[in-house]
Amino acid sequence: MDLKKLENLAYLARLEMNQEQLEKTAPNINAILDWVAKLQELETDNVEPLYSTAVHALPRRADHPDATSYRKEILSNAPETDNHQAFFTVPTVVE
Amino acid sequence: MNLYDLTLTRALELLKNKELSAVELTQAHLDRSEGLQKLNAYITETPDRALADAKESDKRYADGTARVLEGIPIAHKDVFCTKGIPTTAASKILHNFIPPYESTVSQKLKDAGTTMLGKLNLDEFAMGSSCKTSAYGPAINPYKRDGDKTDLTPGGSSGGSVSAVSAGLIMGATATDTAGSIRLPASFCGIVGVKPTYGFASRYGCIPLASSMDHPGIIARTVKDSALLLKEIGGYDPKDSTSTPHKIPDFVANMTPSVKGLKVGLIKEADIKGLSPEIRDLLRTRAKELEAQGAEIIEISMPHIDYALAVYYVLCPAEASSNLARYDGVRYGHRTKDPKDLQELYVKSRAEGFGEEVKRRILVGTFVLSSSAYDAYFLKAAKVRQLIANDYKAAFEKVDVLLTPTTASPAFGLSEEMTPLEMYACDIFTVGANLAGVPAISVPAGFSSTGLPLGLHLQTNLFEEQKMFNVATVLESISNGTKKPSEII
Repeated sequence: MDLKKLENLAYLARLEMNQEQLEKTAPNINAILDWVAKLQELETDNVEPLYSTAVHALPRRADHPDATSYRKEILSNAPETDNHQAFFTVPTVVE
Repeated sequence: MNLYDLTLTRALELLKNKELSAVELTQAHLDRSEGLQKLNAYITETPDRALADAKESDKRYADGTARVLEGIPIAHKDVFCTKGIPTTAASKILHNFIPPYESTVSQKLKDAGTTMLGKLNLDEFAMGSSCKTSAYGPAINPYKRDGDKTDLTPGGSSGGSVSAVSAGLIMGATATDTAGSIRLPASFCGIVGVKPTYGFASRYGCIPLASSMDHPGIIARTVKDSALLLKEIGGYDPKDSTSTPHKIPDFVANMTPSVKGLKVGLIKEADIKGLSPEIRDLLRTRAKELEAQGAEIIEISMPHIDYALAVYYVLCPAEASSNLARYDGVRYGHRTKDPKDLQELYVKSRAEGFGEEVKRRILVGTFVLSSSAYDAYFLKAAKVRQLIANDYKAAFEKVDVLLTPTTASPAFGLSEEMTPLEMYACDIFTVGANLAGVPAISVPAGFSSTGLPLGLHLQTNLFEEQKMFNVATVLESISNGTKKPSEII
């Protein structure tokens, strides 16, 4: 993992990292990736991947409406809302 | 007698017999908490609510409507959303988050009559084995080495839960376990930590780390206390599609504390190089004692278990990087000041809000899920996970229960510097159960030469919690490894 690649990963993950942080992080990430590379020792061509151990079929639920979240409650955690407290707001995206 | 020394089981008897009031019991634990602030076990304390709940419990005892755990003081790991009470996951990014809803696990314990004293410290987003990644400073182990004042880690990630239960600030706690975050710290603090089968308890309202491996569970001082609490948090929940419809046994009523005729497996590959000799000896001693009680000890091989940690450190960061994408500074949590555009809002809010270990896992996860690395890392790890699950399946065809150490060493000093890889290795004995989804428990099994608690670890097949509790009860009684809070600190 070179610094350029790491910088791109940080961009993809939407994490701001300066040069110093990149340099500090790269060796740790390389050590982790080198270590997990031991998985390549195993032959897995005919093995199905296991993504979850939940074994059952999904139960169905009755199809009736139910109140869950309310706008006022949800917006109470918003860092910023519009003046009417009806929306989340972010910096202008389209001029 | 110190009320905070009581077991949960004994306290319930006293409450039912009206020899003790819920208010007295809660006040004793609030006073104990006040005197032990230095343990930093709590992120948020809720004493007023606790006393109001205790008063209500006393009313219920008086009018005959007491519920099953009426008036028992507990607290929740700060990843369980509690309506109207801050829930931080020990992260700066959620420092101001007040959930508008309640997690299923905390709701169930509320409905069972428990009294909540607050929200407990942990590693940030449950990523860690020492509690040191908490944005609020680490919780501290109430144990110290004999004749040594060094502060020790309570273990992690559920460091606050174990510190508080071990020191008698509460009688039991909720916690979560993704690689060992319940069992490892329980072992470090000389108490019981139980992680049930995947799907036993709902994850609804539990802030996720890695959804396919996150297990809500219980911390308590005795096996029986842990069984009483675990029963209350279990059950199918329509709000969690991975929770399983299952009947929850009455663990305590059905308890048959005997190992007669049971096959106890020792895993050959678990005899690792880094294992402390006294823990190896302890394992052998307790295995012999179980044999003397009628168990058959069988050495078995789980050839892929040595790869479990590597699997975990691909799959966990992958799932975490996806789960943590939601913290973007838009809808809740920390937002950077005066961002010039939306991109800056994202990257700065996340950079300011997340700690170092969280960022590291997000980056590793983003990498292993990227198109060029997906097959070699993510898919490969998921396939090896299958091999490990198959190892468990084969093992449980030969034995009833697997017995290993919980950790390779006793608790270490909080100021000891460790690389990420050294820290990751703490979970070596526990992580397999998370990959395979099987239930597991850490039981206090003895003490190190320096006076620190050592735990042993039992695993059974899927949904065989009852068998696990039965064996754990025997192990607990032959070990005599549990101290009262007042004997510890």
